[in-house]
Amino acid sequence: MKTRIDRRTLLRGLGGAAIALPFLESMTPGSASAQTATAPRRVLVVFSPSGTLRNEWIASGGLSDFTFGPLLAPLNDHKDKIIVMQGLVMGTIPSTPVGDGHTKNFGAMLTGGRLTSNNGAWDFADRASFDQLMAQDPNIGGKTRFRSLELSSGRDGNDLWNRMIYAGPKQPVAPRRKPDEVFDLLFSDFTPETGAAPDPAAEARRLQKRSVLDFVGGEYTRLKSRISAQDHYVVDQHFTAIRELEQRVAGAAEQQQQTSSCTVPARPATHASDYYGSDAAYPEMVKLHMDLTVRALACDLTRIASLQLSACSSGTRFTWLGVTEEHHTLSHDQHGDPNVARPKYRQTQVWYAQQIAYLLAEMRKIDEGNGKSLLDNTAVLWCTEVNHGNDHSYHDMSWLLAGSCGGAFQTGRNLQYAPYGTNYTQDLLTSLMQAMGSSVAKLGDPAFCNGPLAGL
Amino acid sequence: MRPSRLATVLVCAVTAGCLGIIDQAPTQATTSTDEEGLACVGAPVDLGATPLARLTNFEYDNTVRDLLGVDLRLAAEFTGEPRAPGFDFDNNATILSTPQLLVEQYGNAATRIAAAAVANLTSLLPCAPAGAEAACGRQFVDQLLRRAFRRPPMPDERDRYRAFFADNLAAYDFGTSARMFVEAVLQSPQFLYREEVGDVAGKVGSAIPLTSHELASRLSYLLWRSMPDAELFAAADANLLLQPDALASQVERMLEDPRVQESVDHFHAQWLHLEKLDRSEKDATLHPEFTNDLRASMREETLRFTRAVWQNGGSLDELLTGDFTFVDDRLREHYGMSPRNPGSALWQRVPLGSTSRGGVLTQASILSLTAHAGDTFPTNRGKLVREQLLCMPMAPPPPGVSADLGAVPADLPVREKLVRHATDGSCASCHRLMDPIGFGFEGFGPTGAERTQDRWGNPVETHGELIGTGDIDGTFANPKELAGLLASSTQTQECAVIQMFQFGYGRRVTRADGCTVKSLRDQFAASGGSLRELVTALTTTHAFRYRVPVKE
Repeated sequence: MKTRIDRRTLLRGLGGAAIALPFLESMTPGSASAQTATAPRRVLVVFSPSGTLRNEWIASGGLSDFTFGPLLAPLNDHKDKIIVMQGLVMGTIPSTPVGDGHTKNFGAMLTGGRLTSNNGAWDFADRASFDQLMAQDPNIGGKTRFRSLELSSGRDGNDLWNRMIYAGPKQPVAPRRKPDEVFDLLFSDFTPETGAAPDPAAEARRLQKRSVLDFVGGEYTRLKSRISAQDHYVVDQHFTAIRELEQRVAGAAEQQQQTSSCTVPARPATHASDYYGSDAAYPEMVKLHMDLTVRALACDLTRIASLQLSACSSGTRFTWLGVTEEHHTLSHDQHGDPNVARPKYRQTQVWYAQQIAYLLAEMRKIDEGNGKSLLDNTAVLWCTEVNHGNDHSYHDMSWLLAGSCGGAFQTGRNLQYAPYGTNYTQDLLTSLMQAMGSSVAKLGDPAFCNGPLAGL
Repeated sequence: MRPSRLATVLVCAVTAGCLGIIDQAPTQATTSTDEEGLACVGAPVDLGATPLARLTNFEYDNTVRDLLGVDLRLAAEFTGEPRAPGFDFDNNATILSTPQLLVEQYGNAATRIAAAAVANLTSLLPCAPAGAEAACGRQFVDQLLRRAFRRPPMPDERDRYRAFFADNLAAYDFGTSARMFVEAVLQSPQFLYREEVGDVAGKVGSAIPLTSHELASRLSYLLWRSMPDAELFAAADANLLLQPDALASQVERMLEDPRVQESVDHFHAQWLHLEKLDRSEKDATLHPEFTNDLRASMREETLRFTRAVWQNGGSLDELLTGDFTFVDDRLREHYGMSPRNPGSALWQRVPLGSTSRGGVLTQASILSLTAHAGDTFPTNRGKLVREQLLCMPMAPPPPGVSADLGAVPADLPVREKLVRHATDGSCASCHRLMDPIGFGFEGFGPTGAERTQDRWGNPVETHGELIGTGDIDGTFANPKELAGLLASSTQTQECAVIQMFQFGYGRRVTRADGCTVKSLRDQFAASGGSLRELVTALTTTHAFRYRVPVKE
């Protein structure tokens, strides 16, 4: 028995004021996943920084008969759910006017676009990333309470080293970090479908909040008429964000119906702010972020998610492995003798693969019926911004997909493309979008996209 | 690269290949001819466009404190302001965007701040609501809007907020209505953004004079990073700030207010990258001394030093060469100084005398934040000097260049370890501009402690070289000599002007600002290089008092 606000209740809550309510459409029932015959498809992007060692990914083999090299060995249990792709090209990199070997690629990685030049100064990328295009699609992101969920586990900065997701041109999306706050966002008013009436005080508070947001939204509309065209987009974004919040507050009454696989996790502990971003906290942050994301996907709170495990060119020190050098420095074989740096770098790469293995295992535990797990219904893209860390290469990317996205992709394959060729990372992202039901034909700059990835 | 061509090539490299930012400032050699063509006389001159500014997180917290007396400092945890290379401050309106997360954080903060504010309703209200709720509500709205918007509300705007309050009052009690109103104000664009329209009727050429209230806001956010106080408000109400003398006397008054110190700290912390110190970690085995406490002391030393320099007139020369610093017990130990006299204050100003230190560049904070975890990193130390003090942003390695230094034994002296930087042409063209500056600081280890040997036992050398600077090229024997050269350089002074312009005006310098920069530079030079006078000069320019039209 879901509690729904009707229009009259809302107006009473607003003191009967004749205020235009632009979001009445959100009062219609949402599409609860359990009501449909098949579970929804999802996309989860996982980013780890500074590439890999290109010769240690695949040990041997061909398309379906292959063995993982030492860096992927932790994923052996999931080989049948994985598609390895090597040799994809990030086509826009050579024609990107600004940025260094990491930021240039990071800005292009999920957008298929380029960093921009602001009179020669480096500026954010020129278009939306593929996940946000799906989040903004009413038939994909619009189907869930949260259009998308972005988490970042390492240190944060609102700069080119820390932003890979874009809502539009030069609109980097700020990822969330604190696990307790992510929990509150996702689950604080997520009540199991027990038939209990919501707390009246909370209900009143929600109406008040909605009324404030509605009023404030009007102020942004009014401001737009007074400011210059260049400033418009900042205010527009603000207005859109307020509207999004308002819809979310309104949608809280429309609890997504819980499926048997949806359970609310424990609320993560709150820490002092210097905990977040510290090396000591890093392993726990990564695990909590993975756990929360898996729960959000399982509860169909969102279908588009990303886990940014760190900045590109990361300064993480893997002290829990006894590695005290910064990750990025290790990726360049610095600290003198490569024979000293290389094994440490290898350790960090294996650690990342272990985290991915944990994530996949957790997703496989969630049964979504018809013999399918959450992993089967998701496409998990594990990507990085350069291929070989030491030379910032962009023409032979080693990326990996796990899960078949509800049967869209045949897993257990090792796809080898020609480095310096014309199979682009943008092709792959286009395939993911189309698997999710997007009508986008080519992601990003069409000069570097053939449409869906050949052979996938 | 043939030696005979080196000088020419390096100058080209400085102005093109190695510059991460090509069109940043009219101080570079390439633009000097443009500048000569500028007729920087008459009023008003060409101005760079002023993009719409939003309160920075720091300004948000300060403004909430001054507006409502609520000092929760919630914005310190907001998602950060956008940063791009070549602009080190948090107020870069040129690249502003509005992340969804930030708007959520504004909403959550507004809820908490409004609740805290109405918990003290009596002190918040200008009237007693009992028996006169509607009237008192209107009075409250009028009064708070004026301060929150930093200008008198426009009539239709005021009516809208009044109606919002009245509607809520019909459904809820007075306290709830007041809370909802405050919540709305804190999320309103008039509060969060610093909208400027100007006095369009007073347009001169292509420039529009700002209104008195807009000037008051510019003054208070420049000098205090917060909203105007009652006195500044009164001056704006009386339309006094349009007169340069009246504006100058407000500046003089505001510079004496303690709030200016927060702004000055904020400037130095960002200019000198002190924020990176918080994220800097050292190898715990090699540097067990580098504790959070010591790191905090290092930061405090630099801020105390920059404050002392500021209070002594704000001399750039003293900032770079001052032969004193501030130490507590931890820093005394770290620097190998004698213990403090029993009973004296923890923090003491101490002379540096004949030590190898002098000026801000030799403080442990900057020496640590530019070093690796277990070793020094001369490139990074040189890069900070190059970029922050000479305003010559260094471009990253070109694509396809391997950053591999080759199979270099770990225990080589760092000058030999980095030899590829100097010998491989593709590296050397830029690294020669950084590494030889950084070598000058080799007498200080990764945590800024003095040393005569590196971690491998090699004796350290402290000589270095400046290249491609314009007026201070040449070798130096130690960091003190380097600091002296930097302090004497026109390029350093021009850079200080650019940095202060960007911090003060919250936008990138553009070519259109040529005359403004020239005027600031002249005033800065005339003051003998006083950063304090430079801040005052910022308030006297056309760029400060005018803006380009809003509608394009």
